[in-house]
Amino acid sequence: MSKLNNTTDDGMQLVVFDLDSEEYGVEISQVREIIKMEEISCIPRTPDYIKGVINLRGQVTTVISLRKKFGLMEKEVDQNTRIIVAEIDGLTLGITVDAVNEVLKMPKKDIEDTPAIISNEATTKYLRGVGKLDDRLLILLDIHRIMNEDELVEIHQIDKSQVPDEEPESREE
Amino acid sequence: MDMLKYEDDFKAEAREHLQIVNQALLDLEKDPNDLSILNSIFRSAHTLKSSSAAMEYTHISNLTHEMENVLDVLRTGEVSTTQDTADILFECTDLLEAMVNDVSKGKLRQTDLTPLTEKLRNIIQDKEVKPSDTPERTRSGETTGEEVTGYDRIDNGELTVFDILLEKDCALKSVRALMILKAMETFGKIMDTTPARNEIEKGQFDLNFKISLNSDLEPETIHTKLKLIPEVEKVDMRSVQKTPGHIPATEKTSPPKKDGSKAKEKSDQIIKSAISSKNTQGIRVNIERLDDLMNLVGELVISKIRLMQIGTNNKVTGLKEVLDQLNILTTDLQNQVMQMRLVPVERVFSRFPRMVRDLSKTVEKEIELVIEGSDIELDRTVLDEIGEPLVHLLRNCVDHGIETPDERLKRGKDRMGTIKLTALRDKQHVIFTVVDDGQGIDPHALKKMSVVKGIISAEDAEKLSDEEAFDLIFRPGFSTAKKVSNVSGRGVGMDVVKTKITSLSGSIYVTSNIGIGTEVSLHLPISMAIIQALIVGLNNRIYAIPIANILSTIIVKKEEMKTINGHPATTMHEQVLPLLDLSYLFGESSSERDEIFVVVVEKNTQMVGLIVDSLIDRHEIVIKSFDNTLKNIEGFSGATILGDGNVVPIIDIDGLFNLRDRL
Repeated sequence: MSKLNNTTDDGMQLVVFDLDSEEYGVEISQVREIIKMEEISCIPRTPDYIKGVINLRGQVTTVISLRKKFGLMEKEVDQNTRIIVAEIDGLTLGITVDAVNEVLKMPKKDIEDTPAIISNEATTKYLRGVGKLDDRLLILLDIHRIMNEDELVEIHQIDKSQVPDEEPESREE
Repeated sequence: MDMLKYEDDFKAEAREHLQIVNQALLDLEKDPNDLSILNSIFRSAHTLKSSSAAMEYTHISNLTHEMENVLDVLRTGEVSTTQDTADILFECTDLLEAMVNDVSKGKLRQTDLTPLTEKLRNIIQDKEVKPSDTPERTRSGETTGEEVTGYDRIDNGELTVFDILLEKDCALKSVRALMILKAMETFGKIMDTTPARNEIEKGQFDLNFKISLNSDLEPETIHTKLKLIPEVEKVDMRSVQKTPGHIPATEKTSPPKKDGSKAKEKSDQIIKSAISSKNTQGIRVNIERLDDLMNLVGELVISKIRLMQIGTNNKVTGLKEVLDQLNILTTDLQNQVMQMRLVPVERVFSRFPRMVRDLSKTVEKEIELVIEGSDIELDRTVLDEIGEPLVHLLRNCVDHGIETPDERLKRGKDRMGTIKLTALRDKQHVIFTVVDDGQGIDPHALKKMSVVKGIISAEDAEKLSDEEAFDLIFRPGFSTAKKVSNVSGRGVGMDVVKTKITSLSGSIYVTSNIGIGTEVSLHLPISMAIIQALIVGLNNRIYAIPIANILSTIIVKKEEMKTINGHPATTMHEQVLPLLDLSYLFGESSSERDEIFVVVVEKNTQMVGLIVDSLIDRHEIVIKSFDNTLKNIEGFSGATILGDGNVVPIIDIDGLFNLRDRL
């Protein structure tokens, strides 16, 4: 599911954001808005990359941590932290990123398939390629693939390690 | 002229009126002499006639016109209402419904109305009563006679001002006005209008408007032609000197309102139309607009909270008062919008009496449908889905459940069978039950049949309990009807029902007693309904527990805590109450304290106490289901947004129990 073909030769418009000292790009048509970090209500018993839900103008929207999703260490929220709210086919999903830098246009010819240099295999399935821009490399993220992934499998595989060590018996008296 | 944009309005309105006619005809069958019922049918038929004529759907207007003729002789009592008459009128309604549904992009499917119109005419002629014209026509005819004689002869080529008055119950008056303007253009050149033409086209006039026309035609001819346009109550005309600039001036300086007698006439009209408009039940709003409105209110609430925050930080005289007021207003607004999304189940139920009546006639049974709980409100999204399964269930009752009158008499039952359809709000579900007092389902016959049909093996069938045997009817390809009728019995019905209910994450239960009857109940989750919930605190977070699940809340002292098989428990009213530590269940650590708050909930008559940190408040909340990422998460049925904009997960008791069982 690539929208690459739909873009004109002028290139794609990308929202560029930081994640763990790497630069990522996401096609602007997948982005509904970018908001500052706000209070997130946790939902217990969900995979750890699901941060919880926020109230996006009356709509309950799920927010995930892209760092956790990519198996990276969580970073403390600072004034640069942003939630990118993506909307594709009527579905919305919030994604926390370290910072949002700019919106830029990238010519199609400068986009290549995801090369082997991206070592983290867990992430490759969410990527649609790498864009070269002068001396910068932009990793192109396809939020649609994150959204459509079958999350339920993971939810049903809550391992017991999440349960506090304390056994219920020890609490009773 | 763009008529297409009125098409949806027309269709929606037409359907509403046909629904009224349907219901009224059912009532009429029970009480053929009730004049008020006939009047209401007449009103709806007449409105439909007018609006379809306005849209130039001549087939619909012709048929409604014929119906009116019949209704009129029924009203006057010249002909009495018989079963046949009612049947024919039902037939008309069906055909009209089909025609309305077929209307698409300004086109109407050509339908042969002759057989029906002949039947209608026969009703009148059989009784040797001359078809009388509709009263509306007669009335307008009379006024014509008076008005036509009053005007002077005007020479050709001169300006004539036509003052056109529409009937006060004119449907879609802007469309009507457009058609008149269009007609006028074929007669000559429109020099001026009062009010301005674009205002007329938008319907921004009371009931009359003026057109100055420069035409070679005889004014009388134009007058007659105008009178032929439906819903034109009255046409006044007078000639004016053809002095450019003069006419508009005189016309504009002497608008009807300034004329004493006209003003009175007009105010009478306004009062009349105000009186007649009391029947208006509401307006149609696209559901998406309500969603948008809801989101806007949510945004408003957040802004309000920010404002209140600023208010507490900066002391401004009088600000607090205003903020308090704003607080109340936004809360009310929010509640109103939430209520707006709810629709009574009557919307779906209302078509069932007619359906059961028709179905029972085709299978020659006598059946009464009793409906309860049609005022139960459900979110529109669930309601849209529930119609089809209910139709299947009712069809099954008619076809398989209820016996023929003879059989019923033989068994010592009333001739007339009863089907009862009930809607009920219970806990987190809306429950629909369909109960009939028919022959019931024989579990042994079910087993036998299933074996014959190869649905299960004979050995498996042996092992099934009676309850399990009832579930066989949900298997694909199952049908116990001895013969296939056109009502049901093709062996797909219950299968479809089951699939649909499951897709709505609901459940379906069947109980039956041979010779006494069958009960099918559908339990459906409320996807976006407003419920009462208890807001509780736990580890500095808040959660909502639906009040419907809660039996009571108690405080348990540390020394009252016990264990059973290692599981926490306490006693309540001398009974053992197992406890469930939500912190533990949610994978968090819990704190020690001397007194703990326990929310006692019930599931399938099983009582359990949920340990929470604090009881915060009791609120009316709107359930918002999670989006796809969190859809199948267990333990929570969704989330709600509290007045302060906070998102709070709603605890789902069933899911909680499953979660506990897995740990």
